[in-house]
Amino acid sequence: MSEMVAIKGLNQKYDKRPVLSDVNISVMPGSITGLLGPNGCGKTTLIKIIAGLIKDYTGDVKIMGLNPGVETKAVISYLPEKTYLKDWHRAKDAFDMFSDFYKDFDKAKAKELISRLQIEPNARIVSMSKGMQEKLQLALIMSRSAKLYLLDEPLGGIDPATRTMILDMILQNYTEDASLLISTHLIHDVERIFDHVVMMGFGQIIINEPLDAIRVKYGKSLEDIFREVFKC
Amino acid sequence: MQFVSALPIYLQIIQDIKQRIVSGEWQPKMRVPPVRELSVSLGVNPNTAQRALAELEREGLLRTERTSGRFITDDEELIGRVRGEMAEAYADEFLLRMSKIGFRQGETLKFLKQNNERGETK
Amino acid sequence: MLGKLIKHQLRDTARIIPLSLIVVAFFIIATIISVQAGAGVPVILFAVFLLFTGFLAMYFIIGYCVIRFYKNVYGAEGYLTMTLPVAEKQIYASWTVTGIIWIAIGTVFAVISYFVGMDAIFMFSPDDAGNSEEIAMIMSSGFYIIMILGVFIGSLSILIELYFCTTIAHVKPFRKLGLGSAVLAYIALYGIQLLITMPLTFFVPLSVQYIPGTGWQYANISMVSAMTDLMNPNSFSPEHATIGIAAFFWYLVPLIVLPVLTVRMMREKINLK
Repeated sequence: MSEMVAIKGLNQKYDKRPVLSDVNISVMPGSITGLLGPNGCGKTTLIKIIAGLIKDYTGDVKIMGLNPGVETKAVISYLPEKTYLKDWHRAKDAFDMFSDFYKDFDKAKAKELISRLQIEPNARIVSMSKGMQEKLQLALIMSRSAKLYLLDEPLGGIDPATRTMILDMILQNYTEDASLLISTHLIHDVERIFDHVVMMGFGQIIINEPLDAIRVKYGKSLEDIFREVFKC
Repeated sequence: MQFVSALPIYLQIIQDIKQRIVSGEWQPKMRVPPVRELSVSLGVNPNTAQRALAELEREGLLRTERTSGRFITDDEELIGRVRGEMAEAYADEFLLRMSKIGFRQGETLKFLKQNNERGETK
Repeated sequence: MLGKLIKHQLRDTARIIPLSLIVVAFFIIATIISVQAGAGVPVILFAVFLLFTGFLAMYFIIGYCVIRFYKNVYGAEGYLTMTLPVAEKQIYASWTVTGIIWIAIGTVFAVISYFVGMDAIFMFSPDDAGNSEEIAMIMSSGFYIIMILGVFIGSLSILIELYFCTTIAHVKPFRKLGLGSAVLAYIALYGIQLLITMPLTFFVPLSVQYIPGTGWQYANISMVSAMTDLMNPNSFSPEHATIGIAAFFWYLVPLIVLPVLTVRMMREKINLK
């Protein structure tokens, strides 16, 4: 089966400082890939390049064989770390927006998700806590049937009980023809939903292997490996 | 299910399922949950769950019926053998640990007998 | 997709812009009522406020559209806008159409404010009879069409320039200066425009002349020659006021060039960090 995401020789600079150096990654359909690394290692930049938000890179980036553009945006469901909804939007307004622009958006599913996540349907974004905003955005993203889900730190402001619920939701949403790329630093909780792991440091790929292979090779958990690699 | 960090997850799943089969918790001919359901209930990646199930099938403990799904084998002999293998592995480990705390072989046997009697009177 | 973008942007801007128009409407009505009532001081008061708010509302509309544009595309909302499956040129076009709709409405309000306000003020000036004739002549000669066009195109130009300036402020070398680069860019644009339009207005032989008693007409002389002519005691030309209009044709150029440049920057040079 051909790759969902194929990245070769990706380099990106910000003010002469290299942010990504010679990155080569493939993401296969049906895979849940973890993108791990300390802050500033380039994970977010990598995700933004795939999402089409950052264009000044050199190298080859292909999603389903296409360069980032209108067609790839239609099949990518992107969840950034920030809140990108309008202040005055209620959940209903966000649903309207998503159903207008994304053919694959399922409004009924979105309603079900927000009630499961205990999000106030009539509250305006500006009055919601950061955690609730994140949950709403997550619900929107998961209510699409996209081919590639890019989740940038999706569990940051969320309490442990909800985290488990969200991980279950991600697994329930799983289909063999879609891929997930999840960047996180909460390795311990999230590790077991990955089948592939990419660990980055200083803009470079340090580890890029199936999770079980890593466990066999290193004999320790990802979190321990992470700590070792990045100890100060 | 709690997972240990150093072992591949799929191996841990295999162990777990084997335990359920040999203990009788999962009966022969019982239908095994489909991969998606299993992965959600265990909280693991579906490919990992699939790998575990495929391995168990290779070992003969699970059987796939093309249209109806996966089932536990009804080969009682195989189950018995697997139970025996697991028991041997646990026993080896137990003996090793006992020897590390200074028990010699005869002592271990005596200890077990005493322990067993104590258990029966409780 | 374009229609949907416009729909959402109108919904977004319609939360605030109509408030400014309501204020103008209030003063229009107040001025008209006080004129009918023949009141003295209130008429002048309302009329002045009306003229003021009439044109302030226009600036408010332009400014608000620009702010919403740059927040929607370059702010946090940009993470959604720029990942929607729409081309950058559609995003730009939709914001321009939204701006046009509000500017059109604002123009109507501004022109009505001008005429109601001026009319109210002239009611109380000593040569009011003469001025009413003036106004009637202006209206009948279709000058008000030029005024409407002028306000509309002028406001639209400012909008397009500001969209350009806020975009260029987010392009890599200028990002560091932040808002400052947008301001500098606008000043630079304004300066360049002035440098181009001044000579065009004064020296190009294409003008409109107002001759008392006759009205407006086209004339193929430049403002400078008309003024030198007037100052020459030996000339035979009647009294007239000449305004060079060549610059009006120039205004079309940025209306085409700036959108093209803005869209190109949006497509290639904008990186949301």
